[in-house]
Amino acid sequence: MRRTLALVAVLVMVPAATALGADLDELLDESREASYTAEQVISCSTPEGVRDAVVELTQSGGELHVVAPVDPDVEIASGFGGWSLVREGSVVSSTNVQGTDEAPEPRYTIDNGAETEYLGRPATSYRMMGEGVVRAELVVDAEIGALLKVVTFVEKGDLYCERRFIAFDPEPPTFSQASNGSDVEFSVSVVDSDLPGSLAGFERLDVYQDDEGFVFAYYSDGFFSFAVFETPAVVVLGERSVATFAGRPYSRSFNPGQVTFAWETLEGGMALVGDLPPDMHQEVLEGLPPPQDPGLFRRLWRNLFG
Amino acid sequence: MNHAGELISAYLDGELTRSEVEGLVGHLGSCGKCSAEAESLQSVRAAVRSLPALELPAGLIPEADAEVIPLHRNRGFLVGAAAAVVALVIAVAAMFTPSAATISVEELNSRYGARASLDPAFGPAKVVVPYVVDLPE
Amino acid sequence: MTESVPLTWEEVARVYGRKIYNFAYRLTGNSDDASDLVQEVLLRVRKGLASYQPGSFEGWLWRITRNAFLDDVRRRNRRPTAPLPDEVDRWDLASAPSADTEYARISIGDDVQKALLELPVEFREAVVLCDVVGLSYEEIAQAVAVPVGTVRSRIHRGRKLLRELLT
Repeated sequence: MRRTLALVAVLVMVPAATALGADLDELLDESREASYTAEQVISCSTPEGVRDAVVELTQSGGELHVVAPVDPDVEIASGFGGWSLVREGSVVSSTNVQGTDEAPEPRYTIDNGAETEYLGRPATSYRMMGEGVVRAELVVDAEIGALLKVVTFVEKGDLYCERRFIAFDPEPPTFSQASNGSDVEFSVSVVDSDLPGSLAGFERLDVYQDDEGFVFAYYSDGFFSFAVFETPAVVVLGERSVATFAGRPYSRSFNPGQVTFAWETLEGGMALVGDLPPDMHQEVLEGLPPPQDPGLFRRLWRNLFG
Repeated sequence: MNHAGELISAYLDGELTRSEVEGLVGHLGSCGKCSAEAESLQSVRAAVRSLPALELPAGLIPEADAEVIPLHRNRGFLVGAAAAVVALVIAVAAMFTPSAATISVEELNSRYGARASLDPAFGPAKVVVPYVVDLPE
Repeated sequence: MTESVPLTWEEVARVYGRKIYNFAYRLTGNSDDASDLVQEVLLRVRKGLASYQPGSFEGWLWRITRNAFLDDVRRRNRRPTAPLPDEVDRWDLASAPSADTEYARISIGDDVQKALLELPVEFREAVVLCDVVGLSYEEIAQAVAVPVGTVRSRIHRGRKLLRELLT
């Protein structure tokens, strides 16, 4: 009798994950096509304290424009591999990359979604799961597919970041043409790199090199992503602290929704920028070249070249 | 980042100062890897320099048809590079120079942001917020 | 640089036309594009010559040339990419190869041209300005509006890429 009960208990405990309907990629694709103007609050709970910001977002035709309180005269225009800083209608600087069509192995799945309401609009709420853990909650506008709210969690289940609209207007905005003021940096995709092809559940999708001396690899797990840089000089972080992994020191700084690490190896500077939650940081960093003391080689260089 | 290789390229083009050349030559000889590097760079350079100088298609510039202008001047004093090739402690010194320039986070942000704009999750879930207050003018 | 500045458009065309054509050809890999580019450059020179301030004439000229090339590229694509390899087949020779040695020399040139076209634009133009047109790093820096150090780096990396492509 007990054995039967135990079996039954096991059967009941099998999660209803088989009732997967929606597809994460489709959902994200649709949300990129939405057009709207919105005000978004980003609020994150980080090992260094709370980081938050309110930003103005306008999205249309695959382009996203962001105005941040740090400087309201500056707008970031991004999309299609481009990222431009626009000040008073003219482009101050611009970066472009060409991407691959590579997609990482799907790490996350979403459930069927539940009907809900948000900001007075009909919406669907999905849970995004990975490795048996809820990693995100997504609230999607039922009418135009926009992501009204995105909440991400660390593995234990605590909140990492909440991004939610506090104002929303689904009218398609018009973007005014910014005059092309200055140099455009092109990053060129290259093939080989010593950086690992897969790392802590993330896949390396491409590697770029440009003539400023930056080499960087882009990693994604289908939702979170980060870039690992080999930099021509040391990166200086603003508000930073030192984080220790495997007994070695890294400079770390948290921005709303994003973390930046910087360290030095014998070959030069390295950095990592991304939106991966803090519980993933250790495994990722420990799969990359560790900080090393270049002091010895500085002296050697001086001896040789005076 | 490979400053030693750049020095060799510049050396082959006659773009180093006298003291830079002396410094470079002074470190020759002990690095077989570097002399191979310089040899191969010189052959690539020579291959491009030996591309035939093309004639203008007839009638494109009537005024120019009569004149024959030498296509590029001879520059650089370097001949027989193979013999005089430099040796540098490439693996160590070349990659890292102590003249500490620094890089701001915005330079990382712009590259990450550009690539992230191609990510499926691009949008409200992945807003890259401008980091620093003093943005480039 | 030059002692006497060519004063008329015709003189510019006569003295520099072939160089500009070769620059354009090595960058684009086909004679139609190169011809179009030459005409565009000469047009801009013609327009600009009236207001040209004495300074470095060649610097001015190569800057015009290089900008014309980039404008053309931007017009064609969202961003510069290497033209497809089969455009190289539109290579037209001034004279057909007759001897075997002539053929061998040209086919090596063909490989180099193909490899050049696979370089990113910034590297390609730096290498061509240095090794085809014969400008100094300083002159290239003026034409391309970047520091000499960047020119040096681009030339070096262009050569390294070429080396990989050719071996």
